[in-house]
Amino acid sequence: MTLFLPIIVALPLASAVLTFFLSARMGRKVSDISVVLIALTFALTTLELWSAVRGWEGREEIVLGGWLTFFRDPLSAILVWVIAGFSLIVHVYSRRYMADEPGYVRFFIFLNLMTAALLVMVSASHLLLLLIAWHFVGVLLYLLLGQDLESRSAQRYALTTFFTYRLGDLPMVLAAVLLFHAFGTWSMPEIFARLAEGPEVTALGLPLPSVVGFLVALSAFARSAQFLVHTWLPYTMSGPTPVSALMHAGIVNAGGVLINRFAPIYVHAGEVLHLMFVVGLFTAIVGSVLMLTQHDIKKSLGYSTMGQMGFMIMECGVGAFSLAIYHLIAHGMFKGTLFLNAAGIIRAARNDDGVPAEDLYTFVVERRAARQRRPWLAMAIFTLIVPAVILFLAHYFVEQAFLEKQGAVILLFFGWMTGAQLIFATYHMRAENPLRLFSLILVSFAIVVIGYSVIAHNFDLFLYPDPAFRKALYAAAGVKLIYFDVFVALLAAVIVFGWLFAYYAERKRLATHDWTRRLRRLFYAAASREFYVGEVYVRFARIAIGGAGRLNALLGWR
Amino acid sequence: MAVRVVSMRCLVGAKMTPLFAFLAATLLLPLFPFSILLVAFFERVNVGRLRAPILLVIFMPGAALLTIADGPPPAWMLAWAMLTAVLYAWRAIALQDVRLWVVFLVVSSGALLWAGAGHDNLILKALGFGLPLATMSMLVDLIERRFGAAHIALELRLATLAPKLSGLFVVALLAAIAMPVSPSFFAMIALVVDQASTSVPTTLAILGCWLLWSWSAARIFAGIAVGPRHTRTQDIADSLALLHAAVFVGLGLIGVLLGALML
Repeated sequence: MTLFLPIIVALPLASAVLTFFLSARMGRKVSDISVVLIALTFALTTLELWSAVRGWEGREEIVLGGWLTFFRDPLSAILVWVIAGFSLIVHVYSRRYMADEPGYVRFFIFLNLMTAALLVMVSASHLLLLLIAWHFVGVLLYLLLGQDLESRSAQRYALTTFFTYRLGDLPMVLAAVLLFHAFGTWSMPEIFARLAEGPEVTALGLPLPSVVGFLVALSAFARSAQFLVHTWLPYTMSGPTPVSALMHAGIVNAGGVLINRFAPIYVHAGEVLHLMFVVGLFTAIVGSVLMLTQHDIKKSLGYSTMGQMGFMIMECGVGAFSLAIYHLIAHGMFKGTLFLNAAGIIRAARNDDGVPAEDLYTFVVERRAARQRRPWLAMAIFTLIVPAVILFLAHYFVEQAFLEKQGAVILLFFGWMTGAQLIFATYHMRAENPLRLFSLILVSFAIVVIGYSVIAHNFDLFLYPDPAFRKALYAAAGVKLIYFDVFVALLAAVIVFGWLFAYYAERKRLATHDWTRRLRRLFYAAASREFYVGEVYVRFARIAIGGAGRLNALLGWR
Repeated sequence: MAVRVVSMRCLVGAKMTPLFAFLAATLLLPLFPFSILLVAFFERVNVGRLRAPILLVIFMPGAALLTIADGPPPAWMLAWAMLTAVLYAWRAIALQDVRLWVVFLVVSSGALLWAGAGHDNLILKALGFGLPLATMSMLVDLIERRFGAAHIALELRLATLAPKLSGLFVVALLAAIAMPVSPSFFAMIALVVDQASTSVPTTLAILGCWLLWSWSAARIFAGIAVGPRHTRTQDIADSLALLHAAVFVGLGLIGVLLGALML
């Protein structure tokens, strides 16, 4: 069984090699080999995951010799399963989708290599092997996004992606080297063990866990499109649809995976977790705002991914590391499905938009509110209390001590706001039987919350079986209790008064001032131009290239 | 395993003061403005097949001199070297001629080797940088012989014009900018290892060069390899493509071997 993991990694590599050598003889049928071998990979990863669920004890390392060492732990078991699963779906989809495209064989070779690189990336336990896989993912993504060799725009956006990934690769190199300097080894299990024994190591005059944690976080930010290094993500739609699906479902999640892999470092780097929380929160908000203001549906999907990635990083920032993994898998599944269905839906929508003129449509699209209303104050109170109660009970039954985890409390606020938003939307909808509508929506919400709580809790137990370590992660992400209590009280007050005001203003149809309308228009204009971040970068790039060109001319190109 | 060139002093047969060795090295691993001489020299080497072997060994004398100096260079010299490396890496992003781009990369990587002075395995690092640049030069030579020049303005669109040549070109390009498992990838990491705990600015300069190389390479790739083209000329022969592919496999293996020796 311990050889499963190396075989799992070797199969996609073998598939790439076979595809290359047999393509001349088999033509496009060569993709069958890829599909079969990736299916076999998926079968093996399922066995590996099954044996992990059945009861591995802690972490094991598979040493094949030299740098070829792999983690055999729950994290790698679940991630290799997810990657192989997504890859299989994308392979099967691509067989027909790419059939008429030039570079069919090349595409499958790169797809296989990408699968292998991702599998190595999530399971490597040697820092150099991790670096190699990390770099390869960037290069292969560049080549896959630039699959259409005749498209200038595809190439331009692939270049943006490549550059941002390189920007993220370099802090990772520095982090690895600093760890090597401090402990004299590239082996991650050894480094983590020695760090646990004595975390008071320094690098560059600062605590090593903080420096390394910060550098790893920077790499994760670039890979997971956090604000200011996000501009590549919405523009990668010029690549083939299966690549978009694979990227949004899997590759972009690399940041969360990396942070989880370095979790033993973050136990001693609380301040970096706080930074992650801020960056993630900001990215989630900006991503959501940009998603709502885009007219291009694919770009809108891209920004939706950015928002989700922000949320994932934020979860890491509050110490909910395993929740981030659960989130990235769930997000990967629904976003992958969206992308793979996008082409069919767009084609169908050209003939008929298929949207019925019902309540949901009139409220969400036409912004027309229902004529008959329930009393606004009662509804506001209902909106605030019901989701809070459902969330509290679901978490309480899963784990009684959840209120001790500051991170869990913060995340509950997001659930609370989502639930309140759901009821607010329902309040506006016309329905023949409002009670039935509310009941159905509340039951759906309760099922989602209970399901989410139960699965997230079990993920926590599966990925981090050591309760002391789980506690340490949450503790590292925590802040002083008095600050936290004040923050929670303020946040709760803002949410309560915000919703009360929203109901009141909506009911009384309060007039808006000119200046607020102007401010809103300005904000909308800035958001629809993506806050000009991309344009600033383009300007900077032009200045850099222009300056280099002028200097070259001055020095006679020598 | 550390490879020390301790017998270098015997080879040169004279006792050399470190400062003299460093000053001489500014010409052999040339720092700006002496680097202009190196670029001018490569302009004069018109025989394409000569450039590859020259590139293979070009860093060796300078690396040997730095090894003889047996210690780190003075801080001002190291800063000078890093500025040269970053200067040429930056200037490379505006280049359109691939041959000149290779020469700028030679200057930039040569200057980076100064960061390894006073540390182990400088000769191996020099070899690590020289090998991929030599293979890149071979590919440039192939393109020049076929199309007259390897220049973005020619709009070659290699990928649709000559897919095999284009594939090899991409691999060579990636190897030249120190992507895994090229020898230069391990040489770069080894240089970061040398400097990470002693000099933050030098480390940042090394990483900055790495980033700028990638940027310029992607521009070269986009200019030379991609774009719409409807005509198609004869690609390189299968045997030649296989030969070059074998060279790249060998390069990767050497890279892993050098990596194991240096790290």
